[in-house]
Amino acid sequence: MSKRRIIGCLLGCGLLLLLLCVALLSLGEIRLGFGATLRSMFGRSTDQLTNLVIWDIRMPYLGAALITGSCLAVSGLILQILTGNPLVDSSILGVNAGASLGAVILIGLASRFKGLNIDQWLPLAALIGAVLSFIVVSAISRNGAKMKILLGGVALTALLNGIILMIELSLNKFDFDKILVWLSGSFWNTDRKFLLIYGVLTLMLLLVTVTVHSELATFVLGEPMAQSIGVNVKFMRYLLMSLAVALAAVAVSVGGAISIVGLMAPRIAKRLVGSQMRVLLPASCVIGCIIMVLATLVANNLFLPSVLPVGLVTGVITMPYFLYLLFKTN
Amino acid sequence: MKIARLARLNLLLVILLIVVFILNLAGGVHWYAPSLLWQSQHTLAQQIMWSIRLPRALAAALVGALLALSGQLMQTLSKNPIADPSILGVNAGAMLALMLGSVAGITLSVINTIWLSIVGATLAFVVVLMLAMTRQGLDPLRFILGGTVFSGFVSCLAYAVSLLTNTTMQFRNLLVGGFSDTTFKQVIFLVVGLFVVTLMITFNRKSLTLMVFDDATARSLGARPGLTRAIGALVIVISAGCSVAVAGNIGFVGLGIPAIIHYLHPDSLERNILPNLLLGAVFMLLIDFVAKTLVAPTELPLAALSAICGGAFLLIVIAREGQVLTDE
Repeated sequence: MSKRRIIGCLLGCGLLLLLLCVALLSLGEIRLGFGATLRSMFGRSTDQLTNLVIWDIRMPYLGAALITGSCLAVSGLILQILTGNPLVDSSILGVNAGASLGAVILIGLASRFKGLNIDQWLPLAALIGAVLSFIVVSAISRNGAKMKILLGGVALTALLNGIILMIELSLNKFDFDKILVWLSGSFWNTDRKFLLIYGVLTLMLLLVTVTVHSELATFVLGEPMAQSIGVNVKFMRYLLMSLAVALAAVAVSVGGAISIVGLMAPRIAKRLVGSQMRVLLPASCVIGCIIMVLATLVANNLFLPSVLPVGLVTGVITMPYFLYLLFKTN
Repeated sequence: MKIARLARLNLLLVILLIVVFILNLAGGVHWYAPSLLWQSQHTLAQQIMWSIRLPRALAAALVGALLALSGQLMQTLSKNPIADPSILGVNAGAMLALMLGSVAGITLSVINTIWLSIVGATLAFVVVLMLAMTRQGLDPLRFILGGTVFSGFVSCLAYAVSLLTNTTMQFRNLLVGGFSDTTFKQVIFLVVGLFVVTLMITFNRKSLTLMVFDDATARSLGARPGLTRAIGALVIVISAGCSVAVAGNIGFVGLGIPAIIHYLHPDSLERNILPNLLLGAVFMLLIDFVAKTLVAPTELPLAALSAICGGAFLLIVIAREGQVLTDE
């Protein structure tokens, strides 16, 4: 890959993301001009209605899309490198379903015990669920073939989704919108403070990932090679795994069990900019954001006035891509 | 000796079936004695037994048998122990077809639901088969993985359709599985479905059994692989379609039941059909009984219960003998 091409691709992706962000902010039941949107974004607008629509209604969706997109993409990238399997991400491995189950159990408990604060404990519950499911999948598919890991994840997802469905339906019998959050993903809480906390968490996790990106790159060559270069493989492996699982847990806390975005983003990024880690990492992050913002745009606008859960749209976009990949390999 | 063992297994399963059937009839929000069915006084309890409990128990038994049968055939035809109409998207296809049909304005009478879901099941099955075909024949791993993801994709579409048309209430049974509104008419159709399917299998049992071999061997033994496969596929989509039309998307019965039967009595497809049907019925009656009594009066989603059983089962299979799978 020539340097010029890489820079061009990065710039192009960045521009596309910006464009989509502005589109997301300006389109909807109330249509705003691009100019008005931009003015309001930079705080130059005095129109009350525009400001209200952009800052209070649409900005939370944008924030949630950016958080989930970047978390899922980076988590997927790390998992693909660690497992040496390009068909893996947190949703395929069942980590997303685990995090969802954690969240659902917390919500179930909170309906029993009134003192329990969901917002406060949600990240922890999701994290515990994600870690447990990751451990189960790794144990099952220890030194197994690549396809076996996929199958283990699929089986675990089915099992966990069954439990989720059961708990959710016993909590509220007919509210499928809520159930879908934890089965296929939806931005369920667009409270600004809630999103701000997760935004900060995301930034912190991404920052840690950036500081270890050169070590991550050595894992591409295989662990023996990484060790011979002088990387503390054992420690670094645990750190990277925890990062991937934590990122997935954050994504699930915000957007539910969104599928396969984490698989798709790093793959596309790799095709565009090559496998140099210091460009691949930001590129996958940006492409993850692009996919999520695009999906949000479609979910919020395609069937006006009704709004679809974003997870259904990402599912419809990403699953054919997974099938295409599956049938192209071997 | 072998026959005697099979007969013993069948006898045991029939007894078990009767026990679970009575249990299923008796259990529910209130417990009633099954003897109410033939006692002459006309009470509300008797009415409930006749118009709600009995069709429900019958439907559960029939659907269980049909699902187990289609799973068994799928596993034989794909030469792979992990196959099942729900894993491979056939159930989801039937579900989506039902929803689209109702959105398009077709009234969901019993007949309409049956043909709609059979059409949907067929389409989905064809897509998954096409995805899994390679130049060397059917690739089992592609079959499973592709099928699962395709199934997820179709379910996403189904949920989207029902959310957009505000019909999640109407389709609740379809989406989460259950027998709560079963009528005698549906039972009759299930009986017809099972009858047709059994006939098809009985007439082709020799060639279906030969499908465990590769095509060349099967052909030399007198089977016609192409035709047999087509008949098998037809049986699969009819069974899966009928079950979805009545009970919604219930998964994994077709996966676990044939595997258990194979474990108890490893034998040819032909001989294992009957115990398989029986155990499928027993399992479904039992699960349905749990679903309606465990946290009564709330009814647990049947799809979730069977997914939990099936997912756990699948995990154990993968952990123990996954290498067999990947070597193929």
